Amino acid sequence: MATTGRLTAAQRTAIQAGNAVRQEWSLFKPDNPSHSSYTEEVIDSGIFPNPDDRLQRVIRAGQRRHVVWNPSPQVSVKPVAIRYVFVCDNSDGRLYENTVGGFFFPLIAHEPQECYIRHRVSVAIYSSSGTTWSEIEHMTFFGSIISLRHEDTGNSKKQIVPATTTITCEQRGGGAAFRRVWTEDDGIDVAMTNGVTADYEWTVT
Amino acid sequence: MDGDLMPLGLTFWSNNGALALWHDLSNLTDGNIFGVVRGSRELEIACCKIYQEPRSDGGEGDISQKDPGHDTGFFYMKNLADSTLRTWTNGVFFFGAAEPIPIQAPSAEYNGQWKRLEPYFEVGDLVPAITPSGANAWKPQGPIYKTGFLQDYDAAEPAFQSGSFNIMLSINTDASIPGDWRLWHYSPLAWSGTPPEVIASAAMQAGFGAEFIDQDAFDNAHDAYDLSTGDSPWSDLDDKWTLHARRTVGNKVMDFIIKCAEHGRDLLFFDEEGKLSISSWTRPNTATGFTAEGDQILDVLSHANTMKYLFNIVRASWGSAVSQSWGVAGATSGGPLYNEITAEVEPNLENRDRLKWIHFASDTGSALRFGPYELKGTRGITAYQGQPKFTSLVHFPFLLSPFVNRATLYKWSASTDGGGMLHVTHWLDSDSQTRSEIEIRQGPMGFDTGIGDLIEDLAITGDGRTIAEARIIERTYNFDTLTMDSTIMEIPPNT
Repeated sequence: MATTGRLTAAQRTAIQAGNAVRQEWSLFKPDNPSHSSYTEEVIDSGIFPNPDDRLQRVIRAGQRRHVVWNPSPQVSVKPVAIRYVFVCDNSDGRLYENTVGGFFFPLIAHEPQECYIRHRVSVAIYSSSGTTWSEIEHMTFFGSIISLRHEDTGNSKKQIVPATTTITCEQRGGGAAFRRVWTEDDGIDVAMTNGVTADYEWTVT
Repeated sequence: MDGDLMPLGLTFWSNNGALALWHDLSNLTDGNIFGVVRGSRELEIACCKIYQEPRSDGGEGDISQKDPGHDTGFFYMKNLADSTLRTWTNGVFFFGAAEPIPIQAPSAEYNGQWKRLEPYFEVGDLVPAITPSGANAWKPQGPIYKTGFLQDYDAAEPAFQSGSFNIMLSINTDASIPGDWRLWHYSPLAWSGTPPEVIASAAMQAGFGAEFIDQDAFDNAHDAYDLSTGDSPWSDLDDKWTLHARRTVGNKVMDFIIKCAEHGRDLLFFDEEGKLSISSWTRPNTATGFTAEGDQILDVLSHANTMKYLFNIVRASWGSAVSQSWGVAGATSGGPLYNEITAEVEPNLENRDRLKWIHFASDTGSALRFGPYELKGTRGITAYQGQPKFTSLVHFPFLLSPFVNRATLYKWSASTDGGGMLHVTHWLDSDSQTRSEIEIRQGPMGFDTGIGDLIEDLAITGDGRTIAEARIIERTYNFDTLTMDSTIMEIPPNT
C-alpha cells in the first residue's frame, strides 16, 4: 500500500479493511433566474451494502474518464470536456421535467439544463461511537445537465421494464469555454489617456 | 521585480488572469507622449507593452485578406468631431537616438531596406534577443526576429527618456482632415508568463470561471518556476522566463490551450472534480511505495515497452532576418549584420537555412541505439499577400526568454544567465529512452491516486521490475463496480 497519496490515513485504512463505499447524487436547481442560489434535491442518498432508509434511484452509476492532454512533447491529445452519464429509475415519474412535485418542478423560466448534479463518494469509518462517512473530496464531481433521456414503462422480452431516465452531464463551467472559437472581441481596445481622466488628443494641422 | 517570480496570487485569480496579459499602456500619459516627432506624422511613446505583429498595419485595408487586423494589434485614430475612425497607423518602430529601426515597412522611404520576417510567429515560438555592440548598442532587441510582443526596454524603466528606446508610431493622418484626434490601440489577447500562468489566464479570458480551475494546482505549478524557491529545471530568472502566446481569430480555445501546454512539462487535464487542473512536473501529488496487493491491483491489463514517447533530435526553426544591413538608409556603418549576431550572441543557433535560423540538438547515444527520432513538428498555415502559405515548424516545447536582464544582458543565454538551453538539455534526460506503459485495474484503493499523479517505486508487473517513477496519464472510474483503470507512463531515469 502506498504510504502517501490523496486519501487520509483513516480512509486508506478503511478501504483496505473493505469498509462500505457510498455514492450520493444530488440535483441542484436554481432558485431564481440569476442563479444566485440553488436548492438541493437528493436523487440518491447512497449505494452501499446494508441499506437503511436511503433513497435509491440510481440504477447504473456510469463512469468518467480523465486523460492527460500532454503526456509527452511527442504525444498530445485534444482536450475533451468530462461527461458523465448515469441512469435513474423513474418509476414514480419524478424525473420528468413537468411532473408536479417532481425534481424539476417548479422550474419557473428554467430548464433542466440550468441545473447541475453533484456526485460524491465517501467511505465508512467505523468506531465505537458508530459509523461516520468520510468524503473522498477530490472525487466530488459537479456536472451541468446536458440532457435527460426518458424511457417510459414498457415491455421487453415479455418483461415489464420500469421507466428510466438517463442523465447526461458535463463538467461545470468548462466545456463551452473550451469549445468556443476566439473572435475579434477577444482583444483589448483602449484609448490612451493623458494620465488624468481625458483621452489623449492630438491635433492634426 | 528582478529576481524571483511573482506568485499568481489572489489578484491574478480575481481578475481573470489579467496580470499575465501582454498589455500595458499605463505609462502613456501626456508627459510620455512626444507628438509630431518627424514632420507631422510620427508619434513617439514610451514605456508601454503592446502586441503589434510586424508588418501588419491592421484595420481597414490591410493587405492580408485572411488577417483583417484583429490578430495583429493596431493603433488607430478617432476623429473627435464625428467619432469615426479615420485613419490607421501604418508603422510601429523602436525609436533610437540615431535612427528608427522599422519592424515593418512603414512607407516608401523604407522599401528595399526591409524584408518580411518568416515564418509567422506562432504560439510559443521563440523570441531571442540580440545585443548589437559598439555604435549600435543602443538599438534594442527584437526586430530581427518576428515577434509582435513589443515592449519599451528602456533600461531605466519605468522612467521615460526622450529619444531613448521608445516606441514610435508612424501615423498616416489625413492632412485633408485636420482636427482633433484621439489615439487608440487594439491588441488581440496576448500573454506572457509561465505555462501554467498563461494557460490559466487564457482559460479565464475565454470565459472559464476561476471557480472551475484548480487554483492550488496552478499556483503550485507556477511557483516551481521560481529561481530561488522553485525546483523546476526551468526556473525563472528575472521574472522573464516566459511563454509568449496570442490568440488567433477562428482558432478553438482548446487548441490554443493544448499548444501552450506543449511548451512545458507540467501535465494538463480536467481532474476528477471536473476542474481544469495541472500537475507540476516537479511537484506532483505523489504516491510512494505502490504495491499490487496493498493498492488493490485487480489486474495488470498490459504492460509494454514503447518508443511512443521517444525523441532524440530536436530541430527548431523560427524567425529570420533581413539579408542585408537592416535599418534605414544612412544607418551607422558596421551595424548588426548576421555574422555579428551569430558569433556574439547566439552560439546555439547552428546555422541559417535561407531565411530561418535553425537550432539543432540531439542525443547521439540514443540516436545510435534506436535510430533518429525527431520531435514532432507542426505545420502552420499563414497568409502572405493574400495567398495561403504553408510553413513547416518544428515546435519547440520549452521556454526561452529574450529578456534575460533588460538592463545589461540582452541576450539569449545557454548558461546560468538565463538557462535557455537548459530546456533543451533537460529533455535528453527522459525522452531519449524507451519507457514502460502499464495498464492496470484497481479496486477502491485507486482513489488514493488521481489523474496526473506521480507513482514512485511501482512494482506490480510479473517481470519483477520496480519502476522508480511513473505518471498516471489516463484514468477511467467505473462507479458501478468501484474499479478504476489507469494507464501509467514510466518516467525513465536520467542517464
